[in-house]
Amino acid sequence: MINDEALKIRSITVKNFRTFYKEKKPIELSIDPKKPVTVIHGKNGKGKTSLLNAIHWCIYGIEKDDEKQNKKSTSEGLVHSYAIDSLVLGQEDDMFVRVEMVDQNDNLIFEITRTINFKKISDDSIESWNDVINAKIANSIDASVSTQFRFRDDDSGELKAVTEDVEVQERLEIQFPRILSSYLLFDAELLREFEASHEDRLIRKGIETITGLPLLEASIKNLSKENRKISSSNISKKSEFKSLLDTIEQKTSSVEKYTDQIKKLGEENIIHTSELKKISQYLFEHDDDAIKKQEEELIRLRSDKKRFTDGIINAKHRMKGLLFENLTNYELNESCRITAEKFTNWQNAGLMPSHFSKESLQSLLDNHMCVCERPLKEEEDKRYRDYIFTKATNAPDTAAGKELGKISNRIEEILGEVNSESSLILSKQYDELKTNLAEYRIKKKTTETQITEKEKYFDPNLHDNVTAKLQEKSRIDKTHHRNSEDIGRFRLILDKLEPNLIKYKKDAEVMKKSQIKNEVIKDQVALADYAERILEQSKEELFKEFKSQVTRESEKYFLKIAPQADEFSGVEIDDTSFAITAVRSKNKEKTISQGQSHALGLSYISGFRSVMKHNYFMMIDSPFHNISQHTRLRACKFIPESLGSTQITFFTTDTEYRGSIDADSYGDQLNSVRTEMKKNGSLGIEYNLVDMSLPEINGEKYRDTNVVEVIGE
Amino acid sequence: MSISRDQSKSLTYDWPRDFSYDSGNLSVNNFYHTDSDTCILKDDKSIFYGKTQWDIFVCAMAIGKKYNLSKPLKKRSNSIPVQNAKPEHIVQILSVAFSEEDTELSILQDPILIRQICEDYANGGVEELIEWRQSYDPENPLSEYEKEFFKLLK
Repeated sequence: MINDEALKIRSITVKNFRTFYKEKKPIELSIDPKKPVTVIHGKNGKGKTSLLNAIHWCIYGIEKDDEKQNKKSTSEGLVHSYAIDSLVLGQEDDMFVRVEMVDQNDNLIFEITRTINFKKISDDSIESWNDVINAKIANSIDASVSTQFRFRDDDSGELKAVTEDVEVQERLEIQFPRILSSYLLFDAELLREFEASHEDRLIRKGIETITGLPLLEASIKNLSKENRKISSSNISKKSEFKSLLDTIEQKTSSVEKYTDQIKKLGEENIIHTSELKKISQYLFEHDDDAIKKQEEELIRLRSDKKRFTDGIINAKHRMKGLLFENLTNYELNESCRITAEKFTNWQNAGLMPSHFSKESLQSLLDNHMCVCERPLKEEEDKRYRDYIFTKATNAPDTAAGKELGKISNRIEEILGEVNSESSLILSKQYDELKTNLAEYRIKKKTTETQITEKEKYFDPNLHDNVTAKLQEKSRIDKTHHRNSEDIGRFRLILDKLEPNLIKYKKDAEVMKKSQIKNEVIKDQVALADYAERILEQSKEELFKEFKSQVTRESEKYFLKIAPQADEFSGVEIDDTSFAITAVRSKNKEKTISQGQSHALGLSYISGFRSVMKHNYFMMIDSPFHNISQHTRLRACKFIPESLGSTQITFFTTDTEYRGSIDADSYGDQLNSVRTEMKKNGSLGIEYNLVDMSLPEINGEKYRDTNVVEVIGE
Repeated sequence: MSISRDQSKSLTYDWPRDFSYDSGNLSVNNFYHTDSDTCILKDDKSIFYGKTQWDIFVCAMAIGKKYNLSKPLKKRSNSIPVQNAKPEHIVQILSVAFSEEDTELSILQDPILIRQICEDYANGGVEELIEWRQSYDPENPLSEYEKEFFKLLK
């Protein structure tokens, strides 16, 4: 999503800047969009960072390290020491850095030249801090800085120069906002610690800057300021009006204070009322009469429970009895029927023994009595006497005979009892008992529940609870009363304050209206109010939109280049701090590796750059430092790929740039970054920084850094 | 109308002293024997709670007779004295004895046979009672008796 409106550095020219002695041949960077990378490499301490600082100083008037560390360096200053130390009295020289920039069509659009002129004006050898040269040097040196900014005029198409310091700074700030410097010229060593401690403040401000939010902010402030200015300048009796406004503010504050107090106390009293209601209810339910009533109720319930328990026992007992009494005879119904039939047969055959003993029968004969103890008549006498005599003679066992007769009768009775009518009655009886049993059980259970509830009422701490409730009631009553008094008092105060406040407000309104000179001014005020609100809204929306885009783009890059990217599901940017975090999809506790942190940083920078209004050049110091060769190769491939036609300049050490790893038992051969870049075709130009010695002055050694283009290797 | 105890004695004066259950069958023995924890006479859920061994015997005998479950005893308990029998029990015993096929009045002169018939039925029937006790509805310990009773009432 890089903007096509490119901004590239065509050349950098340095003279006497730090280790670069005298004017060097312009260092031309690759502006070919197909080969967008320029590499400036050298051994450690040979001036790579100095060169990056030269560009930073040229654009921003301050070195990158100074901005970051904000401390006075005790090392060499901006100007090459040999250039200063070799001056003779009255001699002058200069140091400058010039940066030329072109657009996407390679047309020169900006040229920035920042110069320090210095002259030896005395022989004073005492040293003190020099803010221009940014070092402790002899007081004999006088130095001044100037900047020239040339830009292409859109109307004429020609370059125009600006030299007036303030204007130069304003124009540079518009084109290269200071806050964006970290995204144009940044130290990749920071990438390693990106997840842990990157500069949130910088990023937030960066987003605000590129989205134009400060401009909006300033507009809002200005509108508000102007609005107040218009209003107040058109009021003639300013002091009277101000005094009135102060009074209104003071009275409003008092009204708010008392209103808040009344509201607060009222809310407290609502709670108190509710609590008092609950306590009163509790006390009502626990006074002597209530307790007595509850006790009576409990006794009644317990009595009911006993009654139902007895009912259950009784029903069960009767059911068991009914079964016990009848089951056997019902089982024997058929046996009884057969036996009864046999008895009849035996009876008819005269086989059944007599009911009467021989002695009884003889007595009947002697007394001319019938078996029913009726005196026999003459004509019956003979027949009966014969019959009884026969019986008495045949009776085998009168005792058994008696019993057998009784048994026969009992069997007849049993057969009489076990019939369909009595079955129906028994069935009904048993069903009724079962119904009773079920009802008693339900009633007993219900009563038990009621008893449990009632027993809870008779908590062992009942007395203590009642006492505590009474004390609580007394306390709440007092607070409630006090609150009510305060509310009444505050209302009285408000009753006096509010009419006054209304009157003051009306007076102020009348005064304001009458003092505003004309309708145009009223409209201006209204319009300014409206514009202020609209700008506030726009600011919020813009901010959200740009943050969302940065997140999306960062995530896209990160998931593409991070080592073991499949461990992550995406990235998150914190709403307030703007800290970026890689979100793990698995093994959540694992910390992020150096390579992953490096990738996260690069992704954030890339994501961030995607919302910049220009496709600015990008210069990265130490992009391959302290990461594995694998990550180096991935980064040197990814960065040009992901940034499209963006001009990229790497400042790297020889070792990190040219070093390769031979194949061994641990893995395959890994190319050098240089070979990889040549292979992928992104490398445009490369320079080597070479150190040379200068003549000594008073035994002091000096060195000179030269930039040599590497050709044909 | 019922028969008095004194009157019945005359019918059983020459009967063997005791009736028996099968003490050779452990579950039957435990069912009857009051020393056993599982004796039905000690189970307050049972219809025999607080009753006598005679009550168990005649009920088991009635069931055995009804369903023709006659089963000889392996070992006699000799623990159910005739003198403790109620007149109603004698009626029930005799109705079982007399209702046997080909039984004549003369069986009264063979009390050993009467006893054997009744004991065998009681031994078959008691297994039903044991089964009912083991398979009742936990909510209603009388469920199996109820089922049997209502079957008889129809």
